[in-house]
This record gives sequence, structure tokens and C-alpha cells, in this order.
Amino acid sequence: MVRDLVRGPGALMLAILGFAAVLVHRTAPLRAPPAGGERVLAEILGGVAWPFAILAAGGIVSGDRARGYYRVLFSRPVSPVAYYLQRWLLGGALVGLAAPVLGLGLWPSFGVVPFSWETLARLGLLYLLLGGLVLFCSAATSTPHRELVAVALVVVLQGVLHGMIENGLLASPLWRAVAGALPPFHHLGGDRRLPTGGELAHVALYGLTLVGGGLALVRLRPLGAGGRA
Amino acid sequence: MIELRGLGKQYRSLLRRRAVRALDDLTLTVERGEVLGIAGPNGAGKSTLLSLLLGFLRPTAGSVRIADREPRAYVEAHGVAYLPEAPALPPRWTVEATLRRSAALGGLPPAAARERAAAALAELELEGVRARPLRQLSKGTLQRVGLAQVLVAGSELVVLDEPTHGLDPLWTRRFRDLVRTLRHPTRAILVASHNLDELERIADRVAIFHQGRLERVVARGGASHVGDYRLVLAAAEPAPAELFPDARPVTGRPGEFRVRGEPAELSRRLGALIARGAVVLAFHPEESRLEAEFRAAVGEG
Repeated sequence: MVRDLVRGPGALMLAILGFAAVLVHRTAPLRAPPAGGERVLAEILGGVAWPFAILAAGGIVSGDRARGYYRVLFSRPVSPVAYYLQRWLLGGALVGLAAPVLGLGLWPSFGVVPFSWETLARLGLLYLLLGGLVLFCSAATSTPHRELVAVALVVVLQGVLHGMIENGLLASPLWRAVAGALPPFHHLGGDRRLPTGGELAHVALYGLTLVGGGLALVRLRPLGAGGRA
Repeated sequence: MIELRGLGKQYRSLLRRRAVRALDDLTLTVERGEVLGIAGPNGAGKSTLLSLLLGFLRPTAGSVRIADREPRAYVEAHGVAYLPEAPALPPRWTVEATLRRSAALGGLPPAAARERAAAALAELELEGVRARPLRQLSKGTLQRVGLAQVLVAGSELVVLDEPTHGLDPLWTRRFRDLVRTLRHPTRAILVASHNLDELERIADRVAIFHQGRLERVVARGGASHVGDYRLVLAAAEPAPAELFPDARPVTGRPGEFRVRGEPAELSRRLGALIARGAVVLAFHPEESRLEAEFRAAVGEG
């Protein structure tokens, strides 16, 4: 499982982080103070965290369903819930590793390995929320394409509705309720501080609910869709 | 070991307007130590039945019990040695890694998994391709990897869906030996196949399905049956009209006749024919008993 994850999404993430580190080195070699390194780290990770979360958690369940891998996997004495939870957590660990790996990549540029717990915590919260949404949609659909469309719809709808609320353009109580029911990605915007208190609880509980709901779907929904599916 | 009671499965479209009945009112038991063949034309419900057994689908009627448990509970506790119709495995896995992972998923520690995988590689003569990714294998070799996985699993329930699909005649024969090896008093083996000859050779009973219904269960051996037989005499022999009054010559094949009757009576007449000095080259059923039962079951009798 780890080997597949590292060879698949892991290799792609490493290539993206490597490219980013080289780009920083060529444009700003040893010019910024160490604090600048942390800012660059946070900005790069803020940009790649969303695609990384989707890469790490994407197709977990729907991919196995579509390719029929579940037939071999779950004819063995393995619980699908435990298997997919483990796979999802490993995906999270891979996303979390992006912070130290990129820090090492920025070392030649800044003379130190930039690192910040806040950046790592932001990555973790984003994976919990977005990775949780991806897991939920993966368990609810039968192909990775449908899963991606479902995730995109939720993310775009949430972004549009909250943008309208913040700009005072959304008065309808129904739409405000819909916006309130969607995942609170606005608490994790790149220009905001790490959520605390009620916002943190909202993000964490919502993420945990998505993960729990996804695993419940894995348990309740039949793995196969047809005789030969 | 397996108990199916009034089992039914209907597939419904998303809007639930159209329902397709894949399996209907199936009651059947399979005992430990038994090899059960599952036969039927395409769309008869064979693969649906196997998916229900493994808990990949849920029945819309009736129940499935394996060793007194729900299918998923049984599979998650004990595992099933399962060969799907088309082994679906990640194409970049190597043959050896596939078998080791399969053993590890079965709960074996790494050393034992390695050992089990090595034994299966040897048994299926896959050592030469052990390091090759699955995407580079021919259909027949991939099927052998699937069979190796079954050996690695070592479960008490073995489910094989079209196990000889893609195998050459040599490996088809080896497969029969494999089933004999797997046969054990504590183990039940289910084999779904279109190949009636294969099922007749390996199965104790064959369940014949048609349009989602269990039409009949044919036991191996069993009572003799009246049917058509082919009698082949040395070409110079005269027609055996006296002993076989209903013998019909086979067009274009001198010395060959079709005769009809019950095996014991035909054997008696054949003995008399040989006693009279006739040279009998062959005497065999025109079609196997299972073929005859199959044709009758699917309405082509």
C-alpha cells in the first residue's frame, strides 16, 4: 500500500515540490533571511495543498470499484473499512511530508531548512476537510471521474456562495443555509490565520464527519454493482 | 458449509423503472469436501451468484449463509480463495509481489508469505516471470497468476470463476490436478464454467442455471440414462442390424453407427456383437450426460 502510494501520487508530488524548489533557487538564491524561507514554504504549500490532497485521497474507493480490484482485495480476510481508513491516513501522511520535503528543497536557497508548525497544521486541516470530502465522494460514486466531478461541484459551489456572502450579495436564507451546510473551506483560505476556537472545531468536526460518512458508505454500500462489476 | 435459501437478486436502473432479474428463488446447499460445478449460458446468473457469495452484492430476496455467518462476516473473518473471471490486479505489480501481497492480506507474517508465494510460483511454473509486471503477461500466464493466488490463500472456501479461461490444453489438464490437490474434507470448492467437459471431470455435482433460475442439479455418475451412442466398427464389418435394429449409419463415415438405448442393455448387445467376432474400435456417448442435461435444462433438448 505504502509502495503504491509513494510510486503513484508520491512521485508526482515530489516532482512538483522539486520543481518549486528549483524555481525558488533560480529566482532568489540566498537573498532572503530565514523568516522569508518560512513565508515561501507556506505560500508554496498553500498553492499545492489542494491538488496534493486530491492526489493523495483521490480514487481510493471508486478506483478500486471501477477497476475491479476490490474483488481480489476483499475476498481476503480484510475489512474494507479498515483498509480504506488506513489508505486515507497514509495519504494524509504523504501530504504532511510535503512540508519537511519542501523545507529540505529550500535549504540551498535560504541556508536553513524552513519549517513551521502552523504550515503543517494548515496542511493537516486541509487534508482532513478536503481529503475527507474526496473519501466521501469516492465511497459514494463508482468511478474516479464521477468522484472528481462531485468534489469539484462541492468546492466550487462552496467558494461561490461564500464569496457572495462575504460581499453581501446573498440574501436568500435558503442559499445561506446551503452555504452553511457545505464544508467550511473559507476557514482555511491562504490569506487567513490558522483557524482557532469555534472555526477550528467547525473544520475538524466537519472533516471527521466526512471521513466517518465515507467509511459508513464503504460499509453500507455493496462493493459490486453487477455480477461481473 | 454454504446454505442458500430462496435467494434472489434483481438489478434496478437508477430511476427504478426497469428491473432485471439476475437470480430467482435459489435454494441450494454445498457441503464441506464437495466440488460443486456451476453451469449455464451467458446471463444465467452464475457471476451474480458468486458476487452474492462473496458479499460483493446483497440479495434482494432470501439469504446466504456461509458456515452460519453472513457472507461479508465470513469473508472478513476467514477469507475466500477466489479467482475472478478476469483477474483484476494493478498492472504494475510484479508476479511475485502480487502473490506475496495476497498472502500478506490473508494475515500471514512476511516470512510465511514469502514461503507460500514461492511454493505457488513453483506449482504454477511462474518462476521465470516472477519479476515481470502483470501488464507484460499473456492471458494464459495471467490466469495462472490468478490460480497461484488461490493456492496462496489456503482458505476453506474456494470460488473459481471460469478458471481455465485462456489456459492452453496442457494447463487445462494441470488445472484438474490442481483441483484434486485442493480437494479436502474441510473445504468446499465452487467452479463456474462454460466448459461442461471440465465440470464433468472435476465436480461432484453440477448446478445448471438458466435465466436466473436453478434448473437442475446433476450428480456425477448417478443413474444410467437412455441416450445416443456412437458405435465404431472396423470398416469391413457388416452392419450390426440384428443386435442393434435401430442402428443408423453415420453419413460419410463407413463403419460408424448411431445407436440409442440404456447403457446396461447396450453393453449386453455389444458383448454379443464382440462374441460374434466383430471388431469394435470405439463405443461412446454422442454427448455426455451433463451435456444432455444441460441442453434439456436450457430448453434445447
